[in-house]
Amino acid sequence: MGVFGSKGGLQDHGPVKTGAQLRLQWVATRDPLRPTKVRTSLARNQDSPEGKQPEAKSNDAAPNSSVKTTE
Amino acid sequence: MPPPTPPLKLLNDSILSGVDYGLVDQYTQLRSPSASTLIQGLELAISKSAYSTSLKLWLQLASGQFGFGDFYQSITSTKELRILSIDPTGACDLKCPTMCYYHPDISLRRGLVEESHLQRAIVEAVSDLDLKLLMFMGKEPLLNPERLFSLLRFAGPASQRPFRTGIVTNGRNILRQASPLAESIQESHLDFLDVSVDSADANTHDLIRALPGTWNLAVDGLKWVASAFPTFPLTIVSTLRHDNSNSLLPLLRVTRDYCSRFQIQPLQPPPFVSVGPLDRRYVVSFFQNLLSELEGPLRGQNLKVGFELYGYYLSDFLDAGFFSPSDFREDAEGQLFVSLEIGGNRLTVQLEVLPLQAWRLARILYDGTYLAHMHFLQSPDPFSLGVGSIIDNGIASLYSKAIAVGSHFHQVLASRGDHECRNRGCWTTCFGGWNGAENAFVSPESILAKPSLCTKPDQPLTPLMSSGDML
Repeated sequence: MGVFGSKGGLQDHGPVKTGAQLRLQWVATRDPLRPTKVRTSLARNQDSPEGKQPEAKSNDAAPNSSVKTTE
Repeated sequence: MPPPTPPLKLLNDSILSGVDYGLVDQYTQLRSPSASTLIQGLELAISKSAYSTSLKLWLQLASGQFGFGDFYQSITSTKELRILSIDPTGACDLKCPTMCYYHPDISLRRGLVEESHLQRAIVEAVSDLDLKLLMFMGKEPLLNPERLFSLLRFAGPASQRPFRTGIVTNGRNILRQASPLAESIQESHLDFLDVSVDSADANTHDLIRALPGTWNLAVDGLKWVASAFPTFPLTIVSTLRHDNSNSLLPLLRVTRDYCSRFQIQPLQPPPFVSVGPLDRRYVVSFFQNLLSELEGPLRGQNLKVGFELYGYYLSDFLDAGFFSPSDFREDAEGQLFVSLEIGGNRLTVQLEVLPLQAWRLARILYDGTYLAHMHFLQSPDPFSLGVGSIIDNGIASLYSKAIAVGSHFHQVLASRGDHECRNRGCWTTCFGGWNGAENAFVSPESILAKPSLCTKPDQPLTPLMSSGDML
């Protein structure tokens, strides 16, 4: 509660490694001196089933899972 | 195995027929799911869900495996601010009576924070807090287009950005800002646009928003975006109020030719607004009518409808048989949901059971104040309730301060241990209005003395299980 709006819908991201790389690259272009942490994403990944990025299961993945950035 | 989900069409099939409390009550006689049913359902849900961090936390709390102290330790062990909302204006061209979550006496004369501070905060949030969603919202973000679109350009194109961007607007200025908005969409600096419309009837919407012409401006803006950018994610967001259920559902029909995404949110309770929470039977009845609409007149329209369900309504929805705990799922960002296919349309129920603010959501006000809890905007001086300013502090340190021992967040969590609802059957689907209780500290009174958000009558206080440890 407290968020107004759709929040862009549910998210089913690609491999976490790609996400971390993208984060490093984005931060480096905005603030080259800032060391970017990757710990949080990796920690979260270990929380997913089998400790790895799960494969989407039919009818179980977030809706519109083929769409990466929107609902 | 949990019992099979009853058929959906239990209630009045006649859409827009108004609320029939008697009929609804046949299915909502406080037959809350037993703890064992919920636990079995959560276990099954975890085995089926692609992601399960939040589901596991819920299961651990519900089963007594975790106390609230364990929960606190668990969620503060990693620092992840998932959603950062920025108010770039401190201004709005509407004065919505009874439901503006900004106190009318909040000063709008403080200076705007320099954009460089906002840029630095965004970078640090991405770098140190793994930010996933940057939202620009009100007040009304389109009233400061220079800053808004400059920050979107700073965020850059979606393909090179590790987070999403969105705008929530009242829609009055979409056409006026068509040029920079078009550029943001074309350059993929903006990932989605939410436009508030609360009724199919223009007059009703304008009465709610207290400014004639608002409905027409918003709808004209929606039509323009849909026409110019047919595949761009455009969502109509609506507040379900005490007075608009009969004119809200037709909105889906009226606008389906140019908008296929809808987000419906029951009115946020006090202290966000000055009116009481919606009665549970009213919300259940509305949802039933929504199902009937999607199954009937809107069959095959491929609409995507989101419905935000606060914890204190969840047991009623389970009792009504709309879905079962084994249907719960979680997305990559920890959002809990149930996904239903209704007549060729997708209905996603977002489950707001666990707290969100402070540890997953924060706001930066127009002057740079970092606000961990949105309900502080109901105070005439939210600046004094902020954790600090991004001018003087890094956002990672502000985040840490917002969830530290003794913080508002920690106090709300600690208050669950003494909550009067602990022995109620619906405790484990609501935890005493936890996702709303986090909004209940504007005055200095105790969280336990807060106004009740629950619309259930008193229930027999039957202990479900031994309590876990308390803070």
